Amino acid sequence: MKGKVVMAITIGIICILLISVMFVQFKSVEVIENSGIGAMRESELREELASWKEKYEEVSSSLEENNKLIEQYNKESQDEQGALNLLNQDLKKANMSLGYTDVKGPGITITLSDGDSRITYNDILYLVNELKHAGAEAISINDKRIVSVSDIVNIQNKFIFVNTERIISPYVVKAIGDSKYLESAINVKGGLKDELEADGKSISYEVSSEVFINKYDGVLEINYGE
Amino acid sequence: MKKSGYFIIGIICFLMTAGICVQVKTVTTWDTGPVVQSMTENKLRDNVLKAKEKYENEYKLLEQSMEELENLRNVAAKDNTDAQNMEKQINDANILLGLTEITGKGITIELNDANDSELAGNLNDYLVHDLDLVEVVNELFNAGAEAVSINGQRVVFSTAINCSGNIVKVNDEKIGVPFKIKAIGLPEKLYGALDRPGGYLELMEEDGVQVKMEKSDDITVPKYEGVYKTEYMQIVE
Repeated sequence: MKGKVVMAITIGIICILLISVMFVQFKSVEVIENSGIGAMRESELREELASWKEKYEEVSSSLEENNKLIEQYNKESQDEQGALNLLNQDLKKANMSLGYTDVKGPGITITLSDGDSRITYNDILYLVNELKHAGAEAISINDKRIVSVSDIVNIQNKFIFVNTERIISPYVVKAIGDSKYLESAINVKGGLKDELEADGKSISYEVSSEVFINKYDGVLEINYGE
Repeated sequence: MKKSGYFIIGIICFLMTAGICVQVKTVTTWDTGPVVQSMTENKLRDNVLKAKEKYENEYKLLEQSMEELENLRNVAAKDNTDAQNMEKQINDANILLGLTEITGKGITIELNDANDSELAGNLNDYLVHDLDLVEVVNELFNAGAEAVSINGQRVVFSTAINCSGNIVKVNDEKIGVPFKIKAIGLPEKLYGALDRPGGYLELMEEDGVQVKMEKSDDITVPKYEGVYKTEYMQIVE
């Protein structure tokens, strides 16, 4: 009789333990199965975290620059010459970002040329996209400056046009930015260089501490919006 | 009677244990150490949300500083026509750089993955990829688009369209289908160019991608929320 009671209690405790373990398990599974950020795994979350931190750093350094500029305006814009100097400096910087000025800096010069098969417009288009992803601050193709509204198209499946002007092989693509990032954007295993070479096209590049990129010779306008 | 009672309890215990084993197995196949992992993940998730909030607060401050600068420029330029001229050029440049929202005429394009699961061939063809968006945006600029956005991300000079895993990123922000592209420009010209036979949209449609295009007189393209970097380049006078 006593043995049976002990047995029943033991089995009861085991059952409760088992059931609670199951619930804990169910719960940890539920927590993971959320949408968006809740659905992300550890590696994705780390990537996401790094990306927000990087964005924060960028915005933060830009804010710091602006605050310095605000201080300068407060101090120096009282007299007319001071105001003119500051405005001129701001205008130059804006024009540099737009592509209205010749620029120089460290970067990479990439040469694409027809091999067994020809370079197509989208080889260049995708290359430019990769360079932007690698943080290029200025880009040109055969001295045609790439600006926000630049296009790279083919006409009659034969000719490549950049900014509505024809360019011919060899295609020299220049970019200014962090050389390490720009280089790895191209020569990463299975990346653009490998792909183009596998297609029988020729690509070579040279990293240098000073790349010169000339200005955009068109005019940027907004006529259909405000 | 008593024996069969124990027998039933035995079976129940056995089933429960088996159930737990199955659960443990499904959880561990995701990764090792399920409980520990979900704890570090929760912590990471918290950190991501905190980092995002920190960024958003800093961005608000940046927006305020830009407004303040605009006011200061306005005050600095008020007594001098040369200065006024420069101030106007700076404001125009900021519009061209995509730092302001812009409203006007243009077209909208909506792209979505094919929904017909019975289509034969390569599954990859039914999906809209990062490079598809690069091609469509390129065609829009060729047709004279003045401002373009994809799912709320303004396309500016430094905008890259890429993917990490299966997720498309524009300006390093993740976006998903349907992709809504807005372009400001002459609607007839944009529509005609994108709709032309042999154009990139037609190629995508042939692969089963769903394409919707509309002209509109009232399109709003949001401003670029990133930062222009001028760390490496300098002006050559």
